[in-house]
Amino acid sequence: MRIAIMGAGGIGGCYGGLLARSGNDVTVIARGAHLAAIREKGLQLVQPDADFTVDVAATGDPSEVGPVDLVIFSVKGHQNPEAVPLIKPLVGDGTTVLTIQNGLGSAEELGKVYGAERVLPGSAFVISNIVSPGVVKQQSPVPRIAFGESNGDRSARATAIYETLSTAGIQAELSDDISRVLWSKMLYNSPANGMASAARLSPKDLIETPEGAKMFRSAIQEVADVGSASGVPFGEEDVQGAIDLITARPMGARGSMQADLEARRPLELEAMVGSVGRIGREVNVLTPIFDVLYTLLLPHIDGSPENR
Amino acid sequence: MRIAIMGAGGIGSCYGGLLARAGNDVTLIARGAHLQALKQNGLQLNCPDESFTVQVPATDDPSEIGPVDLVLFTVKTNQNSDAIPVMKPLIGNDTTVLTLQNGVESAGEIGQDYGVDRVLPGAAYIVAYVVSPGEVTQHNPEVRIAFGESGGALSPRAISIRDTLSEASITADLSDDIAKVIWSKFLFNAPVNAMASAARTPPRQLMETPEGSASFRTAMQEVANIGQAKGVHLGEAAIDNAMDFIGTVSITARGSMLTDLDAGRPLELEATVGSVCRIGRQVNVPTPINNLLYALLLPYKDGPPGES
Repeated sequence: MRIAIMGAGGIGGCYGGLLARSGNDVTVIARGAHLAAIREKGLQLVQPDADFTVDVAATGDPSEVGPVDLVIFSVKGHQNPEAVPLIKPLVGDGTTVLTIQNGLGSAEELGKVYGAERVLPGSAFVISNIVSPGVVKQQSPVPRIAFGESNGDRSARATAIYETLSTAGIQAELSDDISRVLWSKMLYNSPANGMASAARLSPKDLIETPEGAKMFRSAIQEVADVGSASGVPFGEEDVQGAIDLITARPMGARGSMQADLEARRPLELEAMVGSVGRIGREVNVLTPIFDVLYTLLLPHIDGSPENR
Repeated sequence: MRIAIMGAGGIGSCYGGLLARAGNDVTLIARGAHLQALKQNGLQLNCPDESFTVQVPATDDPSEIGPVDLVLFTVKTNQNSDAIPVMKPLIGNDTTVLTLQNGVESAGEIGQDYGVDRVLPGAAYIVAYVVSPGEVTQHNPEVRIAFGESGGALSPRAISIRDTLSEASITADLSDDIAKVIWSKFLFNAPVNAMASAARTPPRQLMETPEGSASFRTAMQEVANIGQAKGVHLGEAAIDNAMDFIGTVSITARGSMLTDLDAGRPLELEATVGSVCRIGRQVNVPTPINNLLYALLLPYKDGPPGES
């Protein structure tokens, strides 16, 4: 399959490396020192139980690539104003854009420009970072992607993508209820990143304080209430499930937004935290905790000037 | 008047220096390098329109002083468990303790040890820091104290204290509704310091965004609600005044708690936002925003949390 990875950072780099190794025609779109290193030495992927380097086409300019079968859209949400128009040369008549961005609004945002029918919503479940230019380290054992057609169909294109991902050693899940998958990730990811970032402590460290545990439950409940009012019902067991997921994380393990905050990089605040309040207002659900978390982190949304 | 300043940090030293200059028999109770410098060189006090040095006795041992007419109680609230018993030698039959501590619980706490009839609640309205040992800088154009009898009486002792303060160029408001005065300060002080600390951002900068301004108002409303339940009617006007006041402070002023947080010092968390949460539980009034701020800052209460 001819594939472009739009945003070959930690997550895009991991999926791109695996897809290239299994024989797909992959081009990664990256920037700066990371791009230069990939061009020179290939992309090195360090996994918990493997370490390989793959020679993969890399560019900063999608017009050098032309239309592909599949775009995996994996830039950070705050780069969308720049990145969404930039992929235009990649998108032809038969192109599918699979977005694995955080939050809920990504597929809609891409669909407005390229047509909703061309976009598949998805979710990445992998902890992976650039550790040095050209080198990506996958921290979690099995890289997972869940995705699906918005209407739940098991379409031919979705099945083909599913098989391509599976062949590459990615645990792919073709969901007939992708909206629920995205919301379920929000249910723990938004509180974990929002609360922990505001506390400057890892989610696990914060949830282990008695006051922190109470607030986590309230924050998760807010996401659950907004989800339920938006047509994705969550019950008490889902809230507890999200708490268990956060509690099961290793001590000290930071979420991605928190890592960005500490490094004073721009934050995915709109997708992670702001969206809960915004959707809450649309469906008339109060989100006092997320409103304040948003307030507390907003001064840091752009990172420090040298990182913008 | 024979006066002891229990806790001659920035605020206590400022009032103490002015009272000593006006001819009162003042002793400063201080510690460490500040105490050594006070003993050696006297107190250097810098105000916006004058600077002076005053020789004033200083000690860390109240038993060297014995009973006084007036104790100004100005230690940080997180030192109360040490400081309240330590000042016993200062308390005789006719001693009045005027507490200027943050929060609404100080007079009650001191009253438990020394009798509520001996304690006058009060509030300090200055911005003063120990800038180097023996040297205090006070930033407000006016040096003000508000205080009063809990029952509202204009008692002879209260009038005598007011006159002593006034003669020392301190604006002294003897209030017949000191609870309302203290709660009005609390309404502002507790959420604003906590919000600025959790955001690592000066209050005025938070105020400049609609989200920040809305969050301040919500957090203050929670304090007004618990005040109401305790019989102190603050009303919308108190919130409006507090909001207006934030708009007038310097864009870079960080507030005392954020200053402590930046410096890795313990936080006055229990007397401020912690107190809002506790009183809220007592009177069954929800305080979700203050609960959140408390949970986010609690790991820093005793200084920076250990690295995990």
